Amino acid sequence: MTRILLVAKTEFLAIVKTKGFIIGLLTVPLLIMVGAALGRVRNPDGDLSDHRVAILDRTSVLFDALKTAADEHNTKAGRGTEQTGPYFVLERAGGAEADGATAMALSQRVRDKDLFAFVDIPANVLDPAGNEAGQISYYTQSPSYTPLPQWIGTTLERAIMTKRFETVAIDPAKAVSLTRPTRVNTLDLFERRPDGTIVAARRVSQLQTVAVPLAMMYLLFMAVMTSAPQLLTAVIEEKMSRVSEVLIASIPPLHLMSGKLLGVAGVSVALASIYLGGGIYALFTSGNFDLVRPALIGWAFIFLVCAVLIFGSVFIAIGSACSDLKDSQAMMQPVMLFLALPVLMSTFVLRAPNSPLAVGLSLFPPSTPFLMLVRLALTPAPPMWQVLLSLVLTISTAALFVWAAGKIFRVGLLMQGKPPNLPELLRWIRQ
Amino acid sequence: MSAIQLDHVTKSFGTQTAVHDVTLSVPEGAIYGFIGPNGSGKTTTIRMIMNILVPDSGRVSVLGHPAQSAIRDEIGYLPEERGLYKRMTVRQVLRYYGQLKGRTVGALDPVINAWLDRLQLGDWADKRVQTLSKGMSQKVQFISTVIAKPRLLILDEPFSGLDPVNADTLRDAVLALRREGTTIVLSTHDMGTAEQLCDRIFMIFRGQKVLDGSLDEIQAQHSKDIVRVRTSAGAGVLMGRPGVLSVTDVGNFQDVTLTGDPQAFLRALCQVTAVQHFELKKPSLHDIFVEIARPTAAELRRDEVVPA
Repeated sequence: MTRILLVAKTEFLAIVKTKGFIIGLLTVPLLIMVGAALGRVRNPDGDLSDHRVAILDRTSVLFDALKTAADEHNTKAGRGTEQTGPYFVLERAGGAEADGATAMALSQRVRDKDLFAFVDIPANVLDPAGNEAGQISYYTQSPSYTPLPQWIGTTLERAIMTKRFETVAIDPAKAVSLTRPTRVNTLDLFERRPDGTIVAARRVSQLQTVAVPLAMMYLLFMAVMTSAPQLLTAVIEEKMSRVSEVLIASIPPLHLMSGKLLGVAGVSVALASIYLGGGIYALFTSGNFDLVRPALIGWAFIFLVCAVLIFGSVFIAIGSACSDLKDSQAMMQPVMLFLALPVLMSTFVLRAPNSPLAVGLSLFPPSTPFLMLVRLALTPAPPMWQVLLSLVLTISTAALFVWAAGKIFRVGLLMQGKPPNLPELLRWIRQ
Repeated sequence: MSAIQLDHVTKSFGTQTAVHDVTLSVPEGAIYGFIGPNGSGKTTTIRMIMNILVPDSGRVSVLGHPAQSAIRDEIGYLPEERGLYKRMTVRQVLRYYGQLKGRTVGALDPVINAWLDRLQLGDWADKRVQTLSKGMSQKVQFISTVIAKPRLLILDEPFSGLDPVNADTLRDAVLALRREGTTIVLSTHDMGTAEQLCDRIFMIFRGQKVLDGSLDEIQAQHSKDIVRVRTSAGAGVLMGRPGVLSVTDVGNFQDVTLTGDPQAFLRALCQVTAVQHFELKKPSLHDIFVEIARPTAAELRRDEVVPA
């Protein structure tokens, strides 16, 4: 047992002390910080140039409304060093009389970068009855820049609505208050306390319903991805440098493999603890401590260890069966697919956690650790029998994988040359 | 008690029999040479002694115990193609290998220091393995097999690739270990080394034991009553003498194959000419090896047919 721990400790230190691991450890919080900082900057792309737009207003009554709104927009965008976005500078380009030649001239100005875009407003947009109401056309060479057409769209919509109400003699102010939107709030349920009082339901936050489950799943995914594939390279390196034979002359192969799995499980648990600790700290300092659920954290660690055992054994088996890294890459791809499957499927599980697809996937052992964790983080919690069944299935799968990997490891370590095909691998396992 | 005892051991991989019905007894305190061509079953035999492989039939016992993991700690094994962890320092690697043999760091450190000094590696203790030269890392590998003070040491080609100075240093170390009572199995392709160092020699060929004994015994078994002769009369006088089967003229000497007693032949020869040189020729281990392992005429013919 002490030797298994010795191997585990050596494996743990070998991974943790590499530069790659430390850089990887710092990357995630760094990315989160950069993301948060970018979110605070109002104008992250740094574009402050004036966007000149020519307006062909065939109604003759909408340009002034647009102009007023543009002035408002430009005032809001700030001045000098405080400026947060481009100004929208509008010019009247003509009215009802405008023809193809006008449009051609405007197009040329856009090509010459004199204009950013031009807009054609047909005369019949104001028609209150017409189902055939004309569409507004926005001509530009930069169709991927969406803020401007969006702004024009909402501004014109408001202006046109006001004009239409005026036409049918309805007070626009009244119309606004009559057509105000209605909102739907999502809440959980009322509860009865032991003393009989009824507690009102609380608003459900996006943070709780989407962010926490997804964060937990990605945490698990990252912890597995950072640790388990290292086993493959470690085993191949030992095999290629013939360290393996020295090792198994001192310690039985199964002990050696157990030590390696233990060391890597240690790495993933350490990694998850660091991130979880950081996450919990962030929730506490931001006043969201009610989102911290100890039971969920417990489940996360149980599933993490299972996932590391399952995928770690597969990587060990591949590493010991192959004689060089190139051979192993081909065998690694399907495994990576299984690892990515739960991440790809997580949106379905989020949307309908009790759907047959979600239940099936969360009971399918390679994806159980990730998807059952997502379901546990969601409300309503999955039925207890499903949780227990998934646990039994995952633990038995982990045990089966470790056992089979042990068989392959034993034979594979001493093999050189061509990697075995599937029938050969199965024979190794049966031996 | 024998350090290693193999009784009718057989091991096959699929349809290929790697070791067939081998019986061998390695006495304690001896240096036992394992020789044999590549792929003849040497490594498989060693791996069965190390309990890395389990024989299909027969019995292996090491240091008086059936080969099993408990006895591993008493065996040091230097495989032919061997490695160290490149990113560890020399001391870390040696400690790790020693701890895997169940020794504590406290017990290991003095031994590690003594060995590093002895093999002129003292200044490299805290350098990473990847900075060592090939010869140095080979010496570190040797140290890694002996730091746990094994009672049985199995060395597979320990001197290959070493310059003569380093080879001598390691040879002295091996002999010193033998004086301290360590049993040593030395697997080698270098017949000179085997003749020089080994008390007894075991040769395996195509999975079967073909030689086992002291060098003298083996030479006696394989000597063919060849005498090397130089006389003032030259080759002519030897032809047709009683007891002479054939004469090979090698210039200043003639190798004569005899059927009868060499002493009688010498007496008779003295009466007809002046004998300047008379030597009972013993076959070298090299000669014996080549004679056993040389492909037979039938095999050569079969090889020629194959390319068609």
